[in-house]
Amino acid sequence: MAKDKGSRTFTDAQLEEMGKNFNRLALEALDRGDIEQARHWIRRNEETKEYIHDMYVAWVPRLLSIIHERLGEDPFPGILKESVRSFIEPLYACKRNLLEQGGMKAWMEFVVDVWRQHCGAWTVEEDDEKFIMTQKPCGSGGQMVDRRVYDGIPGERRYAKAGFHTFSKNDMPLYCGHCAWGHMVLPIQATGEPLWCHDHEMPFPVKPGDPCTHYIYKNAKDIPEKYFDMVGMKKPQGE
Amino acid sequence: MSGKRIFTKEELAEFSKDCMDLALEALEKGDVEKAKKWCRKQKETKDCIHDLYLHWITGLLSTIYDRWGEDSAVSVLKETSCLGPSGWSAPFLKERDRLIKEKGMRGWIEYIMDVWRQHTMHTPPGMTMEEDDEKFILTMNPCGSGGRLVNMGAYDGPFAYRKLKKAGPHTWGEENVPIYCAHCPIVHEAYPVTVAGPGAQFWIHASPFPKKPGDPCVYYIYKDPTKIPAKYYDRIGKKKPE
Repeated sequence: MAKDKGSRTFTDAQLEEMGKNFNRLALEALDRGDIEQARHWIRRNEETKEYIHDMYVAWVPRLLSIIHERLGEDPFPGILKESVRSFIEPLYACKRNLLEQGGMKAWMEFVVDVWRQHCGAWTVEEDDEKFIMTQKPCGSGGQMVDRRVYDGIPGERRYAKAGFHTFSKNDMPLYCGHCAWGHMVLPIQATGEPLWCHDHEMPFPVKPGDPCTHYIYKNAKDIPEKYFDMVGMKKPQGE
Repeated sequence: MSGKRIFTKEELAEFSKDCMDLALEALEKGDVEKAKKWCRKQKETKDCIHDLYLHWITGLLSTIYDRWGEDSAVSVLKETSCLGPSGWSAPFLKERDRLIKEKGMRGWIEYIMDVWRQHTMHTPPGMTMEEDDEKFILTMNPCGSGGRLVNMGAYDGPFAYRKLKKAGPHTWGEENVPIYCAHCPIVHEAYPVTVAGPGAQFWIHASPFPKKPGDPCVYYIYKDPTKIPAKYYDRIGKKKPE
């Protein structure tokens, strides 16, 4: 850096801070015992966490709508199915390892850690057989329904026809279509059980304000058959 | 609590909050160690959703490339990143105008850095910002999206995402631009100049994109946009005003 600082905007220390993300800056402040500065960085993270997330969340449905528009309804589910494989398939081994090492507790903690990075709002309940995760809204599909991106000028697309790829429901947003493949069909095909089950009656948000509810069964043999039926699958015998 | 339950009510309540909310709550209670735990958890998990989208978008762009060809892929890149409901270039232009009007260059640079801080930019050696008298120099090593995809080898092997083979103003005149990186010349440079005039580039890609794993991506942000050299206009098919 040149010696003359007369036309500079930032100090060297401020420039160095720019190379660090908020959680690191917060940790450094905590290590120094500077609680107020740590709070400042944590709040900055909360204020800015949606910047890239929401840009991506808007980009995907636009790309899906273009593909749907060009290809038509019938080939689209297959394209969507293939597009989610790359990020769903690694989860099978991840889940197996977590269950082996730390049981359902470890798997649930992992699932929640993922959702914590998804900029939504949710609650988790537990009963004897399952966990109930209610997203209101989910950080992507639910938020888009709440923002009405499927209506009016944005006009992102929904499926015109119902099928197993729409949980057998009408008017599924194309974006929400990845849930049927990624959370249920592909994992059932690969491992015999879904990662989690989408609510049978309302598997995706239909109108603004609707929740999206997931059920994570502690024991796969307790998953009711209706969750396999809704995606055109058969519950494995002997489970 | 039932004998079949795994978590306490308190743990289930924590499940409804994100890591940094929990860090703040811990500080309110004076529990610094717990706050550190949640900040570390944030560091460990912040990439999971980001990277899912990164791969999904690049995969979909590659699908479009395969089905409809390179020109169509470029057209979709322009349409989805600049125009319409998903286009972020236009809102970004408005935000820059507002920030510079209200806070000057300092406000704009701070905003940019907040954006990049949310872009998983901190894999070592990471991101640095320098300043000289005429410009800011942002070095991303790697960039949290395009650079990391190149470092992952995602344009080869099982992912085998596509690159734009043909050079043109939409690729800074370069061949073999990774399809994800191809939004950069359009969104960061050409589109702002098209709609807001010379000097409206968000930043200039000086490097301009990572060609092999380990390559950085370097941006210049000129304090006085009239000082942007003519070569950076020529390569995107624009002319610097005399």
